[in-house]
Amino acid sequence: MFAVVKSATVLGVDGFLVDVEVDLARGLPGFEIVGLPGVAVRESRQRVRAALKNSGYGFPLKRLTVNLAPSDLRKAGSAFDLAIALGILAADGILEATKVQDVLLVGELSLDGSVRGVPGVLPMIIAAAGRGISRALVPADNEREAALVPDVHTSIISSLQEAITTLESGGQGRRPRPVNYSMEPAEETDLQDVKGQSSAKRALEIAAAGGHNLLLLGPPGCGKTMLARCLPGILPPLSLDESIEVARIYSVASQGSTPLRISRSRPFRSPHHSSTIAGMIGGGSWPRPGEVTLAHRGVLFLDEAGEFRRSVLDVLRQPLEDGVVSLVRHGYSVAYPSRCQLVMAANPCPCGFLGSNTKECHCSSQEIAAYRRRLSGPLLDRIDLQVWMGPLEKTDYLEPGEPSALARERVLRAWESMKSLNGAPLPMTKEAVTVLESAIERFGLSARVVAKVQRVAGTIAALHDSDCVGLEHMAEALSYRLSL
Amino acid sequence: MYLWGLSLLPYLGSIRIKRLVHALGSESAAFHATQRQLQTTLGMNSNHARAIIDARSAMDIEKKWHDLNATEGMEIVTWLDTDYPYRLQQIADPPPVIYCQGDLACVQGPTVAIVGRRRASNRGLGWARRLGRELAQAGLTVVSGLALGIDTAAHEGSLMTGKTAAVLGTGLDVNYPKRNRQLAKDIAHSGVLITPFPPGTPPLRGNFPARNRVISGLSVGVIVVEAGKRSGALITASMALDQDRDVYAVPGDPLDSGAAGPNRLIQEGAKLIRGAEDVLDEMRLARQLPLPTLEGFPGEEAGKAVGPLGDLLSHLGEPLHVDELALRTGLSVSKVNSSLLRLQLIGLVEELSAGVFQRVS
Repeated sequence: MFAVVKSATVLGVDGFLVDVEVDLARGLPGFEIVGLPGVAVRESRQRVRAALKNSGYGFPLKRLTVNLAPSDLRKAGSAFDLAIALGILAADGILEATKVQDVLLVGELSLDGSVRGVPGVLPMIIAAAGRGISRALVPADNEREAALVPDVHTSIISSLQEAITTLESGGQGRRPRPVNYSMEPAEETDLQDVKGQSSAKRALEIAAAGGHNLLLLGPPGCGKTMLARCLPGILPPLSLDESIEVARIYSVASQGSTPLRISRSRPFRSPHHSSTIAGMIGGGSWPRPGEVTLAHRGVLFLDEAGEFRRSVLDVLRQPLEDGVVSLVRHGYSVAYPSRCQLVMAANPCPCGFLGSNTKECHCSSQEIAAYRRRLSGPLLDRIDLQVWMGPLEKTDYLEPGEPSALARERVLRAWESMKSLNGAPLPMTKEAVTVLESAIERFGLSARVVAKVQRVAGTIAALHDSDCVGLEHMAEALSYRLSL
Repeated sequence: MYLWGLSLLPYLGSIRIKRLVHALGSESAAFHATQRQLQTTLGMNSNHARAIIDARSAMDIEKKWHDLNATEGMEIVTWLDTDYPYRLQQIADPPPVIYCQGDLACVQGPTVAIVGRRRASNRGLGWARRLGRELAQAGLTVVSGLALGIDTAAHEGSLMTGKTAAVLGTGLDVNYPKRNRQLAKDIAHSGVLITPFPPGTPPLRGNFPARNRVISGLSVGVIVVEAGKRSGALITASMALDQDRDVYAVPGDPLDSGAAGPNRLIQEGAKLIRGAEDVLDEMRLARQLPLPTLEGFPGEEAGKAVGPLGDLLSHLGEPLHVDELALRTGLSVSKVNSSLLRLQLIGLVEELSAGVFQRVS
């Protein structure tokens, strides 16, 4: 009158296996779930009872106890429904216990016995593979995630009944269709659609090649946003491991508006400037990943960066530096990866026309100072490249632009040549050193800025297929230094 | 000391102080004047005279004077002192006392004021910076008001090559505008900060006309670069006329709001300025503007701007954005950016603002 089946839960972006132990005992009929269940888990009693009944199985009139082990780990969500239902059937002897053993069971039940998808299936299967579990049943809704881990024989099911037949037959059941990774960037913007702005395009290319953080400054309508949207299109594709890393995050976050993402192109996230701290770095009492994590291995774009609340910009500092967000909650903590490239776009002043020759700026000097302070305080330290974009000229509309594909080729080449260096900086020529020294003196550059300029110069040298940082490379790097 | 004390009392401007000293014979007597004397010599009403007496008795002048003189770096100069700027002495109502920090002697030589609006365009700022630099290089001391915009640009430009004097509308110890804190320090170091206001005076609206009067008073001529219809720069210009100073104006596009001021001045007879040479000609000063060279700079043949650098320079007679420059020369942006930076380091090109560059003079 006892059975154990396997299920899993998610903490952060990692899956954890959970043993679902079901015991049927004599006594007054009842149904208890223990082992730190969250609200949705406790409510699974109602769903399981109805689903079993509506699938043609009776609900045992016994005293029923379900323990979710390890019992000190908090569990949330509805993913245990399927395991609990099948565990009850196994404990009741309806299902052979050996057939359910060592099969990962994940899914939410609906009252009529059909199975719904749940978030976090990918990390759960990865965790199962890590623990040597070779079979899994997951909802058909999560088919695409299931196909990503070849080590686990996964069957997809859409009802409780189908789950039982699959288990009883001991066969494969329905196998998920293999996934073809899309290579195309999700954003349709191509560099050749951006008119003019050749220096900003060049800076974008350098940023892409070296993974540098970029600040675009310019009046409204000069193409800052459009240009930033071109960045994923010229970045090298994700490696297979990286794309699974990214898919894992999206698997956990896949609720409501964030669809699952299985692609070799890099994510591009552009949160609105009214975003909250929890929205940016993740949060909630049951933490969910924030924008900086959804942009992991990709681009986090802050449009109208000066309009973000200062506190929101402030909290981004640590994740960008460490590549990971640690959120501590009562009794546990989660770590979300957040290794992303930051691109910020901002107007030079609140109205955007400061210093423009065509339109007059209406901001007071206090407003401008406050606006700059908001930008400059927290995040500017993280910016390696800065470009001022001018308003479009008449001639810009006629000039045929270069398509993203060409820029991407150059970026890829530079990327690979830098990878072969293993992070060792390129040597500098004597002339490059002289230019750097005179610039330090002339512009009063701080040590931090100098370090950034040197990094950028290395990237430029790699873009030019050079094996050392020359005069030209250093001078160009200096021209994108931060001056805001 | 007593003259200084008089300058701190309410209702007493420079003209009244002059009259009082003249009538009573000495500064000390004027400072200690009775209510009756105040009322008869100055024709004041009794309330005002009462206020003066009250303020005087509340003030421990000797201690205050002593404390102030002990302040590091600050000098108090009254119109009785020989180092009081002689040009300022000549105006109708010179401030009895000025407070200064730096080298006051630099306003005794040839001076010119550059004034304009705070919220200036790129072009205006570029002009102010360039005029400041070139005029300072020719040996003039450039006077301005340390305000944001044109004033700041003029100070910055002249600091590059010579001396500049900033006239404040606040006490020397008040940091206004905040953003120019460093600039003020630089000016105190290689020029002079001057104010007619005692330490601690906040930036009050009413202070600025008095400051403008000192700016024009210190200068041989006043150049207005950009100014709106009711800009403070126009007040300075009209004061300059009252003080018998020359007024110069840099013309602008009539559709441009910043050109309304200077264009109006030109219409009323101000001298139109096309460059530093015009000012120097007018002031009968030698024009002597040596250019920096490429000599000794890495990667260049001695003294010559050749190849792409020379090509770039030939296009930079007018302010151009990097992108536009790349388009015109046919060079890659990467090349243009790196070349511009090098030209900037040599000092042949300057960034007016936001990616817009221009050849130096």
